[in-house]
Amino acid sequence: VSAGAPLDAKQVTLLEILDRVIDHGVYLSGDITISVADVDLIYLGLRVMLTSVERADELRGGVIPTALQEATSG
Amino acid sequence: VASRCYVYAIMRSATPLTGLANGDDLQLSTVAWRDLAAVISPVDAGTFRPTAERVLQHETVVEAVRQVGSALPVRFGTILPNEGAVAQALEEHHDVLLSDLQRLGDKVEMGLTVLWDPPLEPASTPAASSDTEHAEPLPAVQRAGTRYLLGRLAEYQRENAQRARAATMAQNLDDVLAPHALDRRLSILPAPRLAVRAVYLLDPPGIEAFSEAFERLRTRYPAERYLLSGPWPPYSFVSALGPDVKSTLGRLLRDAEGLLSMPARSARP
Repeated sequence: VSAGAPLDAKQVTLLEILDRVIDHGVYLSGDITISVADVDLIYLGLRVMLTSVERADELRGGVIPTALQEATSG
Repeated sequence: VASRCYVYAIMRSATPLTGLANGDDLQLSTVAWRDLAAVISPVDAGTFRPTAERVLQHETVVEAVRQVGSALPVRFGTILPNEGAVAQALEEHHDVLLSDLQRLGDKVEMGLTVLWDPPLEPASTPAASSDTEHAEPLPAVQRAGTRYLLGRLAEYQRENAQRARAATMAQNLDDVLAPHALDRRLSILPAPRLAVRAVYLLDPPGIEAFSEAFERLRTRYPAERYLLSGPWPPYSFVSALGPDVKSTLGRLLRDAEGLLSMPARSARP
Protein backbone atom coordinates (compact mmCIF):
# COMPACT_ATOMS: atom_id res chain seq x y z
CA VAL A 1 0.00 0.00 0.00
CA SER A 2 1.58 3.21 -1.08
CA ALA A 3 0.69 6.47 0.59
CA GLY A 4 0.87 8.20 -2.77
CA ALA A 5 -1.18 5.74 -4.75
CA PRO A 6 -4.77 6.44 -5.70
CA LEU A 7 -7.37 4.97 -3.46
CA ASP A 8 -8.58 1.62 -4.64
CA ALA A 9 -11.06 -0.87 -3.37
CA LYS A 10 -8.35 -3.02 -1.85
CA GLN A 11 -7.17 -0.21 0.38
CA VAL A 12 -10.64 0.59 1.63
CA THR A 13 -11.36 -3.07 2.16
CA LEU A 14 -8.15 -3.40 4.13
CA LEU A 15 -9.13 -0.45 6.28
CA GLU A 16 -12.48 -2.04 7.04
CA ILE A 17 -10.78 -5.33 7.86
CA LEU A 18 -8.24 -3.60 10.09
CA ASP A 19 -11.04 -1.99 12.01
CA ARG A 20 -12.36 -5.41 12.84
CA VAL A 21 -9.53 -7.84 13.18
CA ILE A 22 -7.19 -5.69 15.26
CA ASP A 23 -9.55 -4.49 17.95
CA HIS A 24 -12.32 -7.05 17.84
CA GLY A 25 -12.83 -10.76 17.66
CA VAL A 26 -12.26 -13.42 20.30
CA TYR A 27 -9.46 -12.53 22.67
CA LEU A 28 -7.92 -15.78 23.84
CA SER A 29 -4.78 -14.79 25.63
CA GLY A 30 -2.81 -11.95 27.08
CA ASP A 31 0.09 -13.27 25.06
CA ILE A 32 -1.33 -11.72 21.94
CA THR A 33 1.20 -10.69 19.36
CA ILE A 34 -0.49 -7.41 18.61
CA SER A 35 1.03 -5.80 21.67
CA VAL A 36 4.44 -6.49 20.21
CA ALA A 37 3.46 -5.52 16.69
CA ASP A 38 1.52 -2.41 17.59
CA VAL A 39 3.93 -0.03 15.93
CA ASP A 40 3.80 -1.94 12.65
CA LEU A 41 0.02 -1.95 12.67
CA ILE A 42 -0.14 1.76 13.37
CA TYR A 43 2.22 2.32 10.47
CA LEU A 44 0.22 0.08 8.16
CA GLY A 45 -3.06 1.65 9.20
CA LEU A 46 -1.77 5.18 8.84
CA ARG A 47 -0.65 4.57 5.30
CA VAL A 48 -4.08 3.20 4.46
CA MET A 49 -5.77 6.08 6.20
CA LEU A 50 -3.74 8.73 4.47
CA THR A 51 -4.83 7.46 1.11
CA SER A 52 -8.42 6.67 1.96
CA VAL A 53 -10.01 9.31 4.15
CA GLU A 54 -8.79 12.23 2.09
CA ARG A 55 -9.61 10.61 -1.22
CA ALA A 56 -12.89 8.93 -0.48
CA ASP A 57 -14.52 10.82 -3.34
CA GLU A 58 -12.45 8.79 -5.74
CA LEU A 59 -14.47 5.77 -4.75
CA ARG A 60 -17.16 6.92 -7.08
CA GLY A 61 -16.94 4.87 -10.22
CA GLY A 62 -14.21 2.66 -8.81
CA VAL A 63 -14.15 -1.09 -8.69
CA ILE A 64 -15.86 -2.13 -5.50
CA PRO A 65 -15.49 -5.64 -4.13
CA THR A 66 -18.49 -7.66 -3.13
CA ALA A 67 -17.98 -7.05 0.56
CA LEU A 68 -17.79 -3.30 0.15
CA GLN A 69 -20.75 -1.54 -1.31
CA GLU A 70 -19.63 1.94 -2.10
CA ALA A 71 -22.44 4.19 -1.19
CA THR A 72 -21.13 7.66 -1.65
CA SER A 73 -23.84 10.11 -2.42
CA GLY A 74 -23.67 13.59 -3.84
CA VAL B 1 9.75 -27.44 16.66
CA ALA B 2 10.06 -23.64 16.78
CA SER B 3 6.62 -22.96 15.36
CA ARG B 4 3.75 -21.81 17.52
CA CYS B 5 -0.02 -21.84 16.96
CA TYR B 6 -1.71 -19.01 15.12
CA VAL B 7 -5.45 -19.09 15.92
CA TYR B 8 -8.04 -17.97 13.35
CA ALA B 9 -11.44 -19.06 14.58
CA ILE B 10 -13.45 -21.03 17.13
CA MET B 11 -16.01 -23.57 16.02
CA ARG B 12 -17.70 -26.71 17.25
CA SER B 13 -15.39 -29.68 17.45
CA ALA B 14 -17.91 -31.74 15.49
CA THR B 15 -17.55 -29.47 12.45
CA PRO B 16 -15.25 -31.10 9.90
CA LEU B 17 -12.48 -28.86 8.63
CA THR B 18 -12.30 -30.10 5.09
CA GLY B 19 -12.31 -28.58 1.65
CA LEU B 20 -11.07 -25.14 2.68
CA ALA B 21 -9.38 -23.11 -0.03
CA ASN B 22 -5.65 -22.90 0.74
CA GLY B 23 -6.29 -25.02 3.82
CA ASP B 24 -3.49 -27.39 2.91
CA ASP B 25 -1.07 -24.59 1.99
CA LEU B 26 -1.58 -22.95 5.36
CA GLN B 27 -1.46 -26.31 7.17
CA LEU B 28 -4.76 -25.57 8.88
CA SER B 29 -5.80 -27.96 11.60
CA THR B 30 -7.91 -27.95 14.74
CA VAL B 31 -7.32 -28.23 18.46
CA ALA B 32 -10.38 -29.45 20.35
CA TRP B 33 -11.50 -29.27 23.94
CA ARG B 34 -14.85 -30.93 24.60
CA ASP B 35 -17.37 -29.46 22.14
CA LEU B 36 -15.18 -26.58 20.99
CA ALA B 37 -12.31 -26.45 18.53
CA ALA B 38 -9.84 -23.78 17.47
CA VAL B 39 -8.71 -23.50 13.87
CA ILE B 40 -4.94 -23.05 13.87
CA SER B 41 -1.89 -23.09 11.66
CA PRO B 42 1.79 -23.26 12.57
CA VAL B 43 3.59 -19.94 12.59
CA ASP B 44 7.09 -18.81 13.37
CA ALA B 45 6.38 -16.14 15.95
CA GLY B 46 9.89 -14.79 15.60
CA THR B 47 9.32 -13.73 12.02
CA PHE B 48 5.60 -12.95 12.17
CA ARG B 49 4.94 -9.42 10.91
CA PRO B 50 1.51 -7.81 10.72
CA THR B 51 1.49 -7.01 7.03
CA ALA B 52 -1.48 -6.21 4.85
CA GLU B 53 -1.16 -9.68 3.35
CA ARG B 54 -1.33 -11.27 6.81
CA VAL B 55 -4.43 -9.28 7.69
CA LEU B 56 -6.13 -10.29 4.46
CA GLN B 57 -5.10 -13.91 4.96
CA HIS B 58 -6.56 -13.93 8.46
CA GLU B 59 -9.88 -12.63 7.19
CA THR B 60 -9.87 -15.05 4.25
CA VAL B 61 -9.40 -18.06 6.54
CA VAL B 62 -12.08 -16.89 8.97
CA GLU B 63 -14.56 -16.46 6.12
CA ALA B 64 -13.64 -19.85 4.65
CA VAL B 65 -14.16 -21.56 8.01
CA ARG B 66 -17.56 -19.92 8.32
CA GLN B 67 -18.49 -21.41 4.97
CA VAL B 68 -18.05 -24.83 6.57
CA GLY B 69 -20.04 -24.12 9.70
CA SER B 70 -20.76 -21.73 12.56
CA ALA B 71 -17.62 -20.07 13.84
CA LEU B 72 -16.37 -17.13 15.85
CA PRO B 73 -13.61 -14.89 14.47
CA VAL B 74 -10.51 -14.67 16.64
CA ARG B 75 -8.60 -11.41 16.94
CA PHE B 76 -5.78 -10.94 14.44
CA GLY B 77 -2.34 -11.82 15.76
CA THR B 78 -3.40 -14.38 18.35
CA ILE B 79 -0.43 -16.73 18.70
CA LEU B 80 -0.19 -19.30 21.48
CA PRO B 81 2.92 -21.31 22.39
CA ASN B 82 1.56 -24.74 21.51
CA GLU B 83 -1.56 -26.85 21.07
CA GLY B 84 -1.77 -27.44 24.79
CA ALA B 85 -2.06 -23.72 25.41
CA VAL B 86 -4.81 -23.49 22.78
CA ALA B 87 -6.76 -26.27 24.49
CA GLN B 88 -6.22 -24.57 27.83
CA ALA B 89 -7.62 -21.30 26.45
CA LEU B 90 -10.68 -23.16 25.15
CA GLU B 91 -11.16 -24.75 28.55
CA GLU B 92 -10.68 -21.48 30.42
CA HIS B 93 -13.20 -19.57 28.29
CA HIS B 94 -15.44 -22.49 27.38
CA ASP B 95 -18.78 -21.20 28.62
CA VAL B 96 -18.41 -17.73 27.12
CA LEU B 97 -17.15 -19.10 23.81
CA LEU B 98 -19.94 -21.66 23.57
CA SER B 99 -22.53 -19.02 24.39
CA ASP B 100 -21.06 -16.66 21.78
CA LEU B 101 -20.95 -19.46 19.24
CA GLN B 102 -24.63 -20.16 19.76
CA ARG B 103 -25.47 -16.44 19.64
CA LEU B 104 -23.18 -15.33 16.82
CA GLY B 105 -21.81 -18.35 14.98
CA ASP B 106 -24.03 -17.93 11.93
CA LYS B 107 -24.57 -14.16 12.16
CA VAL B 108 -22.86 -11.41 10.20
CA GLU B 109 -22.17 -7.77 10.77
CA MET B 110 -22.49 -4.80 8.43
CA GLY B 111 -20.34 -1.72 8.90
CA LEU B 112 -21.53 1.80 8.23
CA THR B 113 -19.30 4.83 8.06
CA VAL B 114 -20.58 8.37 7.63
CA LEU B 115 -18.02 10.83 6.32
CA TRP B 116 -18.67 14.53 6.58
CA ASP B 117 -16.98 17.84 6.28
CA PRO B 118 -17.12 18.79 9.93
CA PRO B 119 -18.88 22.08 10.61
CA LEU B 120 -16.00 24.46 11.20
CA GLU B 121 -17.86 27.61 12.10
CA PRO B 122 -15.66 29.20 14.73
CA ALA B 123 -17.19 29.74 18.12
CA SER B 124 -17.34 33.35 19.19
CA THR B 125 -13.99 34.28 20.67
CA PRO B 126 -14.19 37.32 22.90
CA ALA B 127 -10.45 37.16 23.54
CA ALA B 128 -9.59 40.14 21.39
CA SER B 129 -12.12 42.48 22.95
CA SER B 130 -11.79 41.42 26.56
CA ASP B 131 -8.66 43.44 27.18
CA THR B 132 -10.26 46.70 26.10
CA GLU B 133 -13.01 46.30 28.65
CA HIS B 134 -10.58 46.57 31.51
CA ALA B 135 -9.84 50.01 32.89
CA GLU B 136 -6.28 48.86 33.39
CA PRO B 137 -4.90 46.51 30.75
CA LEU B 138 -3.79 43.16 32.04
CA PRO B 139 -0.11 42.36 32.02
CA ALA B 140 0.98 40.73 28.79
CA VAL B 141 1.48 37.35 30.37
CA GLN B 142 -2.07 37.37 31.71
CA ARG B 143 -3.47 38.47 28.34
CA ALA B 144 -1.71 35.56 26.70
CA GLY B 145 -3.06 33.19 29.33
CA THR B 146 -6.57 34.51 28.92
CA ARG B 147 -6.38 34.19 25.16
CA TYR B 148 -5.16 30.62 25.52
CA LEU B 149 -7.98 29.66 27.86
CA LEU B 150 -10.61 31.36 25.72
CA GLY B 151 -9.21 29.57 22.69
CA ARG B 152 -9.48 26.26 24.50
CA LEU B 153 -13.04 27.10 25.51
CA ALA B 154 -13.97 27.92 21.92
CA GLU B 155 -12.46 24.65 20.73
CA TYR B 156 -14.36 22.77 23.42
CA GLN B 157 -17.62 24.43 22.41
CA ARG B 158 -16.98 23.67 18.76
CA GLU B 159 -16.30 20.00 19.49
CA ASN B 160 -19.44 19.79 21.61
CA ALA B 161 -21.52 21.30 18.81
CA GLN B 162 -20.05 18.85 16.29
CA ARG B 163 -20.64 15.93 18.62
CA ALA B 164 -24.25 16.96 19.13
CA ARG B 165 -24.81 17.12 15.37
CA ALA B 166 -23.13 13.75 14.87
CA ALA B 167 -25.23 12.23 17.65
CA THR B 168 -28.40 13.47 15.99
CA MET B 169 -27.21 12.00 12.71
CA ALA B 170 -26.48 8.65 14.40
CA GLN B 171 -29.94 8.63 15.95
CA ASN B 172 -31.52 9.30 12.56
CA LEU B 173 -29.54 6.43 11.03
CA ASP B 174 -30.32 4.09 13.86
CA ASP B 175 -34.05 4.80 13.74
CA VAL B 176 -34.07 3.49 10.17
CA LEU B 177 -31.58 0.61 10.47
CA ALA B 178 -32.07 -0.81 13.96
CA PRO B 179 -35.44 -2.42 13.17
CA HIS B 180 -33.62 -4.58 10.60
CA ALA B 181 -30.82 -5.69 12.94
CA LEU B 182 -30.39 -7.94 15.95
CA ASP B 183 -27.95 -5.66 17.71
CA ARG B 184 -25.71 -2.70 16.99
CA ARG B 185 -22.76 -0.64 18.18
CA LEU B 186 -22.54 3.07 17.48
CA SER B 187 -19.53 5.33 17.73
CA ILE B 188 -20.16 9.06 17.61
CA LEU B 189 -17.50 11.25 16.02
CA PRO B 190 -14.56 8.86 16.44
CA ALA B 191 -12.53 11.30 14.37
CA PRO B 192 -13.27 14.80 13.07
CA ARG B 193 -14.03 13.64 9.54
CA LEU B 194 -16.01 10.62 10.64
CA ALA B 195 -19.39 11.63 11.99
CA VAL B 196 -20.54 8.12 12.78
CA ARG B 197 -19.22 4.61 12.64
CA ALA B 198 -21.77 1.92 13.28
CA VAL B 199 -21.90 -1.83 13.09
CA TYR B 200 -25.08 -3.88 12.89
CA LEU B 201 -25.53 -7.56 13.67
CA LEU B 202 -27.75 -9.41 11.21
CA ASP B 203 -29.10 -12.78 10.28
CA PRO B 204 -27.78 -13.40 6.75
CA PRO B 205 -31.31 -13.55 5.28
CA GLY B 206 -31.85 -10.04 6.63
CA ILE B 207 -29.03 -8.46 4.63
CA GLU B 208 -31.25 -7.53 1.69
CA ALA B 209 -33.85 -5.73 3.80
CA PHE B 210 -31.07 -3.96 5.70
CA SER B 211 -29.44 -2.81 2.46
CA GLU B 212 -32.77 -1.54 1.16
CA ALA B 213 -33.29 0.42 4.36
CA PHE B 214 -29.81 1.84 3.92
CA GLU B 215 -30.65 3.00 0.39
CA ARG B 216 -33.71 4.81 1.73
CA LEU B 217 -31.48 6.41 4.31
CA ARG B 218 -29.10 7.76 1.69
CA THR B 219 -32.00 9.29 -0.15
CA ARG B 220 -33.36 10.88 2.98
CA TYR B 221 -30.05 12.35 4.13
CA PRO B 222 -28.07 13.15 0.99
CA ALA B 223 -25.71 15.73 2.48
CA GLU B 224 -23.24 13.22 3.92
CA ARG B 225 -21.21 10.45 2.31
CA TYR B 226 -21.96 6.91 3.37
CA LEU B 227 -19.94 3.74 3.17
CA LEU B 228 -21.66 0.43 3.79
CA SER B 229 -19.46 -2.65 4.06
CA GLY B 230 -20.06 -6.29 4.72
CA PRO B 231 -21.21 -8.85 5.42
CA TRP B 232 -18.30 -9.54 7.77
CA PRO B 233 -17.85 -12.16 10.47
CA PRO B 234 -19.28 -10.75 13.72
CA TYR B 235 -15.97 -9.47 15.11
CA SER B 236 -17.58 -6.54 16.89
CA PHE B 237 -20.08 -8.55 18.92
CA VAL B 238 -18.04 -11.26 20.61
CA SER B 239 -17.86 -11.05 24.37
CA ALA B 240 -14.93 -9.18 25.85
CA LEU B 241 -12.65 -11.79 27.39
CA GLY B 242 -9.54 -9.70 27.74
CA PRO B 243 -8.70 -6.19 28.78
CA ASP B 244 -10.53 -3.33 27.18
CA VAL B 245 -8.24 -2.53 24.29
CA LYS B 246 -8.10 1.06 23.27
CA SER B 247 -9.35 1.26 19.71
CA THR B 248 -6.41 0.98 17.37
CA LEU B 249 -8.46 2.37 14.52
CA GLY B 250 -9.53 5.28 16.68
CA ARG B 251 -5.88 6.07 17.28
CA LEU B 252 -5.13 5.68 13.59
CA LEU B 253 -7.93 7.99 12.63
CA ARG B 254 -6.91 10.63 15.12
CA ASP B 255 -3.28 10.40 14.07
CA ALA B 256 -4.19 10.61 10.40
CA GLU B 257 -6.56 13.48 11.00
CA GLY B 258 -3.86 15.29 12.87
CA LEU B 259 -1.44 14.91 10.02
CA LEU B 260 -4.00 15.82 7.39
CA SER B 261 -5.26 18.92 9.14
CA MET B 262 -1.90 20.32 10.20
CA PRO B 263 -1.81 23.16 7.65
CA ALA B 264 -5.28 24.36 8.62
CA ARG B 265 -4.51 24.27 12.31
CA SER B 266 -1.21 26.04 11.99
CA ALA B 267 -2.97 28.85 10.12
CA ARG B 268 -5.14 29.65 13.09
CA PRO B 269 -4.12 32.57 15.26
